[in-house]
Amino acid sequence: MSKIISPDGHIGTLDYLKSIWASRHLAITLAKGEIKNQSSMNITGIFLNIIQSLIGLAIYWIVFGVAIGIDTGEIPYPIFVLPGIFIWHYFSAITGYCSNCFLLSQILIDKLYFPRICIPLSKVILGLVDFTIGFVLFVILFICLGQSFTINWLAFPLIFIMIIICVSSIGLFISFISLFSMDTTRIAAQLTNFLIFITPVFYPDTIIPENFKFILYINPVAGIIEYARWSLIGTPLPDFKYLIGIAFTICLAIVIFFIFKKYEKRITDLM
Amino acid sequence: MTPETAISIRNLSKEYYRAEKTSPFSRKSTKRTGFLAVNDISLDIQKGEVICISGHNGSGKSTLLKMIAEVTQPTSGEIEIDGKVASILEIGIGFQPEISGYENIFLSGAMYGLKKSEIEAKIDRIIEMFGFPDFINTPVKYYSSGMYMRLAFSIIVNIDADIYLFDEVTSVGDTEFRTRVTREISRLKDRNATILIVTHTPTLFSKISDRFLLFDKGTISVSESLNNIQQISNNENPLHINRDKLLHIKELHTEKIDFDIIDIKINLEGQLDNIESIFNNKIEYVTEIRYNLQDCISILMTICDITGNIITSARTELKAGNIESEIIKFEMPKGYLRPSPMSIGFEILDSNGKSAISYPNVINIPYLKKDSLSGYLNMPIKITKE
Repeated sequence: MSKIISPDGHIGTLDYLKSIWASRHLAITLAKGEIKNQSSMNITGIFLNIIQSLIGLAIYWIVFGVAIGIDTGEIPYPIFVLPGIFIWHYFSAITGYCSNCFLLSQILIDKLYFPRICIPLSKVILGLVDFTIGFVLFVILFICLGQSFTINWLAFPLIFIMIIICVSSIGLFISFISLFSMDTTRIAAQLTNFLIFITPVFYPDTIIPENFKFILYINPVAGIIEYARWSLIGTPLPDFKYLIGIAFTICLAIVIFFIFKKYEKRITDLM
Repeated sequence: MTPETAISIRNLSKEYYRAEKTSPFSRKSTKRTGFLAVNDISLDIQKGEVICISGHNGSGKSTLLKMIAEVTQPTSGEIEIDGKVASILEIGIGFQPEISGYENIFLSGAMYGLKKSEIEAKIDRIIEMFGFPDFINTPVKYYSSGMYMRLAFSIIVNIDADIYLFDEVTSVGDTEFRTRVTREISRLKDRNATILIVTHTPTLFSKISDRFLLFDKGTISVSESLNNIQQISNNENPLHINRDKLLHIKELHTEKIDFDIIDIKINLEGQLDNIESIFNNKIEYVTEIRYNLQDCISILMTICDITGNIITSARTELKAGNIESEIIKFEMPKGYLRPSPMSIGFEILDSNGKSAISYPNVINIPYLKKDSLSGYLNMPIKITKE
């Protein structure tokens, strides 16, 4: 049983999937290490996360719910806006983490071999912490404001898998781009600042005129938020055109997987 | 590749591109010039062999290790590896400062491809080797650098692999750490592991190494087994001069001098054909040094044998400035057989002739063949005037 290292660095698809599966523990451990490193696993760290979400929620509520008075029908505004916030936050956090993840772990990459895809994937796991906090906060608020659970909640695991796939493909894509351009971090930050306004995070998609709705349809995050709202708070089932954006990210996920497979051994030299 | 071969390297090359960065607004495109870090190396390493690799900075030894460790891809050629590889290209890599030593063991273990259960099975042994069980639940940022390295090294030697790659693991840490490292490496050797060590202090591993490789500009310039290296006992050394007597050093003055040696090369001039020529001819070592200097100083260079006895010395005035090449010639005493290893010492004297800084053992000359001598400076010396 011998291994051959040659310049072409070709890896079989199945072998690559196996090596990723074998290093899942590493991705989780990397994420865990970072969570602990960030918050030192103490109460203030978790507390700050909750406070941050609550302040964000309060601001959106005051600005969009009270001051502008966006119509969300019978659904209380905080309940309406929260799924949008935590899903959007997950996407923007991963975009931020992945835009410099290779740069930050350069020493590691330079000195040790492991499937490089683990680094952006560990960021996807890392982002789940805030996502979970947001979700728990939502459930608490949901119960406190006297909403009732519907059968649609059963679809949420499926939507959650969709979220993971979309987040991973976008994260991997950005991390790959960052290998070639040092500006990725700044561009990604600018884009997320701007894209939030063309995503139905703090308004329902019904306020968008029909002839501009195509912007939402090609935006995968918009589709996911709409489907999550349908599942969690019982808004009407979104237009099937939202699947365009989601289908696009699934294609991206497949393409980026093969790109990573191809560049796997070359990433050290690309940095 | 026979079943006894652990690593078989065939015509391996690695080309790096040195991009000359111009201003982002400049219209000139970035120049990319390639250079071969590793140039057409072929090498077979047997199972259970311990190989010690030395060479100048940038001679390609670390690049070779990186290619075996799969960190970087070869440009051409092939490496065939039989067995699991554990690559230790840096000690304490990937430690998270805020989390405890205990958790870092799991983190580090996962990076080396160990499963959680495998680490759990070894955790007691790792903690025992670490030697500070009271500190195991302390975040590693509070560790002293010695403790940090001991923890990292305890993890490394507990990885079960067939092939171990060590890159300058002894360049950090104190003497105790170094002996610990050599002891653990020899323990791995007893387990019949194949070990590749890149080091600037090959003398540390002279007892356990089976073969010395000397890298020069991407190629292997010397590859010899230990038996072929000339060894000479002290009794045969005709010059037993006490170092202090020769240098007239009573005490060291610690006034600082701004002195920065960048590189040093030693070449042997003249060919030696037979034993007679050693006794009858004058042999010269030519030392070429590159340095950067603020004030004029004089430098006393000495070649010592392993016991610290001075074999020969030369004193030269060094001009101030950034000097690319200054030649210092050494004359070897007649009738002196070259021992191995030797070391070069520096004595930097200020304008009054007082000894300012003394480096009794800066360069190790790891290896002497019959007709060539290779040495290199371990690190740049930088002393700044206060």
